[in-house]
Amino acid sequence: MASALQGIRILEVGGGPAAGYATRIMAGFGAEVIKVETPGSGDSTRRSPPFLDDVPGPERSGLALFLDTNKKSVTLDLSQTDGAAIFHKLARTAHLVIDSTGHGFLEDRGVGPGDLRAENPDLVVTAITPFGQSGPYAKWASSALIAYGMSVGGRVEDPVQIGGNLVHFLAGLHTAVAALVALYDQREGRPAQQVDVSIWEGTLMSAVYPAVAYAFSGVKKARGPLLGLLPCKDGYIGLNAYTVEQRRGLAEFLDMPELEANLGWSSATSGRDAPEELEKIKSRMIDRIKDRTPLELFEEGGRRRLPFGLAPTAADMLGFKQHNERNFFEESDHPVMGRIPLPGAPFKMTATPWKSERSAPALGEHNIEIFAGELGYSKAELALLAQRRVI
Amino acid sequence: MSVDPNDLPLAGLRITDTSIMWAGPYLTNILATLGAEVIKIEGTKRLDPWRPTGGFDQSVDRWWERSPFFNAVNCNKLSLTLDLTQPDGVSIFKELVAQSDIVVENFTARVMPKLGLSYDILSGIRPDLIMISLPAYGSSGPWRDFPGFAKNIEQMSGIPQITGLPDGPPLMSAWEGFTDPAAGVNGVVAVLIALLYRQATGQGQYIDLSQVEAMTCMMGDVIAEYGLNDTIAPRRGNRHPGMVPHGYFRCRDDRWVAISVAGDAEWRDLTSVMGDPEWARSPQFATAVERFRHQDELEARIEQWTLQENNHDLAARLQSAGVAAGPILESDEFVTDPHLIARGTFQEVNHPVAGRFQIPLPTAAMRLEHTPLGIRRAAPTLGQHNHDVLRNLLGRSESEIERLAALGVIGTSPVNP
Repeated sequence: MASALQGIRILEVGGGPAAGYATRIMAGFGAEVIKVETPGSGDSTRRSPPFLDDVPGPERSGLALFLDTNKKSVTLDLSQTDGAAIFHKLARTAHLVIDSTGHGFLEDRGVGPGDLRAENPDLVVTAITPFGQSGPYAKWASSALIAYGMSVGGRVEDPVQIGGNLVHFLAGLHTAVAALVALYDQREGRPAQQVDVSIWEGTLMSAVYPAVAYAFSGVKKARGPLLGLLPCKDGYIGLNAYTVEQRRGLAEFLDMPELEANLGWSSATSGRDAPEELEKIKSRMIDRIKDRTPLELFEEGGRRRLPFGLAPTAADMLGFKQHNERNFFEESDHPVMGRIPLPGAPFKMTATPWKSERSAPALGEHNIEIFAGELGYSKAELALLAQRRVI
Repeated sequence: MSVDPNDLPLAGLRITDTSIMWAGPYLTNILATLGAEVIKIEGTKRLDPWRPTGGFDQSVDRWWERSPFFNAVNCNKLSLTLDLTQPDGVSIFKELVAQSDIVVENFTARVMPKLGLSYDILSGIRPDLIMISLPAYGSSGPWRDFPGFAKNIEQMSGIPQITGLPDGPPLMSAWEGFTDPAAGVNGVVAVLIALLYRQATGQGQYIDLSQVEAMTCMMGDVIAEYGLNDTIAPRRGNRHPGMVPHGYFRCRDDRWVAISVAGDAEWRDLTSVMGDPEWARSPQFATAVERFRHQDELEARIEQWTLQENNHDLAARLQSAGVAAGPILESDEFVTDPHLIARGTFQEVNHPVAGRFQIPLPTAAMRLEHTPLGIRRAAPTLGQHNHDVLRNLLGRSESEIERLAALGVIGTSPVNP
């Protein structure tokens, strides 16, 4: 079957998990994604855990394995004139550039959006920065911890960051939206535009309701606990209820009529006025489920149309019958890391399905294909570039 | 910051949207802000459950128009009420689909087919239709009919297992709501990919987005870790495998500051902002590995210092010195934040019932060079555009519209709210 983004060439420069997540999706739906990496060290994701056998190495990162499936890798030192010149040539063949090198990095090397578009006017350049390219924090340094902390609205007594790479992957999704809509716009016959993506504002959109509630009512919400996950036999369960019907269903299920009233703990912005009451209810709930396993509770909840949730580990998720029946996971076959199960498509597009055609590339694996095969550099020239560590 | 709506990237596209609560409505909120015409469908007997959310007084007149959450995520849309359990409701829906490019729905998998509104049927009416469903578990599989909302989608994606302290229980994200907007943005990516394909080939398609799958994709590195080493990724609290110190530190007045120190240079910058204290010169903090080994003590020392400081001033001083830091904002500090003001992240709307207040720009994560995106209209009141859509778009007569109102197919106030 066809691929949705067939024929679209994307340069990913600067790397990192946000850019990598955006281009991972585009590559899986058929775009040709070429990672432009620093010679020697490569993308920072190659230096990020998890590593095979916990031993670091550029071809041993599970993060890079996951993000770079279906992509190509070339190396270029953009700080050398030859590196910048080759990048220019490559950008002439591209439709999108996803740039996470930071403020002014490409401009300072003569390969900024303006330089590239002088030769390829249809090129859409999307730049990812921590706080965007304007505003008083534009030059601030950041991290996922900071972006998340600045977004959650003083919610809890002791703030805890969300785990994994979720903040950057979410920024990657916003980046994909930005780049794809700009490409669509250009293909509708309008001039290509640059796009400014802000990681903080992307994170904020996922935690913005305390601010919205305040902006509407002028009432600053109190801090306090929500129900969270409850311990049961051999694990944890989320006994969630949102609507009146669900609260009634939960009250019946646990034989706790007091749950039917809107105690507020089911809502993100109400009910933090009575934490002691919440603790009492919580301990009664725990008492009623302590002899039942998470899966038992989850499936019974599902049958009663209650949105219960498990707290699965990676091993648990790999065993979910739902995922297996839908062939959600795929296996990557990597020359160093071996056969590793990974999540596949983030969504199923029925006419243009997700394809995983190659495992993550080795650093510079496609130098010859792209530089010699396509841009016409001779072997002697490539040797010179390698000697000078341009590639 | 205004632009001719006809110049927006998705101008000319029409979306019929039956989605409710946050994930689906955020998807169409973004598409609407990018220029599409979004017609939000609700039933007067079946309001969007987001209408009673947001902690406001529900004893007031027309309370269902006052939810700050509903009004935030439905700006830039039109509202049509339709009772899809009546034949007239279904036939109007189909007429609307015939004139739509995209249909968005997030019921559990059984609902749209039961209403006779599956993709097979709708694509017979509009052959190049793009339709996206975003139920919790997708449209197939043993759990397809299980309901899902932000909390259990977050739980089922394994996020709590990697969130929390190393020796503590699994925790949810701060508002237990992280996945709704994240699933919505995944949906926007899917729709844009389908639009690019349709632009090139003229072909529409059906997109089956399981919110749990979309979120589990965002755990790719955690899944990979199990495959690589048979180990379960640890909960790290607020620490980082490559940066130290790295955490949220308590400041004066029960406020917090986030600090991430990348390398030796940033460590020296941090100690200089601290006034070069004696303890920081100790050999146990001399190298990154030493700091990594002595994190408990390091964090306690830093917090003794931050406790004396105002979190905003401190973050600004640290940033001036080259150290990554940021204040943890309280819920009242977003609309006054100078950066967000400068970037127009919150914009004022004037809602006919709820009045004037600020809501976030749905596309705030991105800024386009030529086409500034903005909030062009407040969220619609229930059925506000019934007449416009039925008369002007679908060509129904005045008497027909009256008949539909009398039958309760359409309406502008809820039945038994």
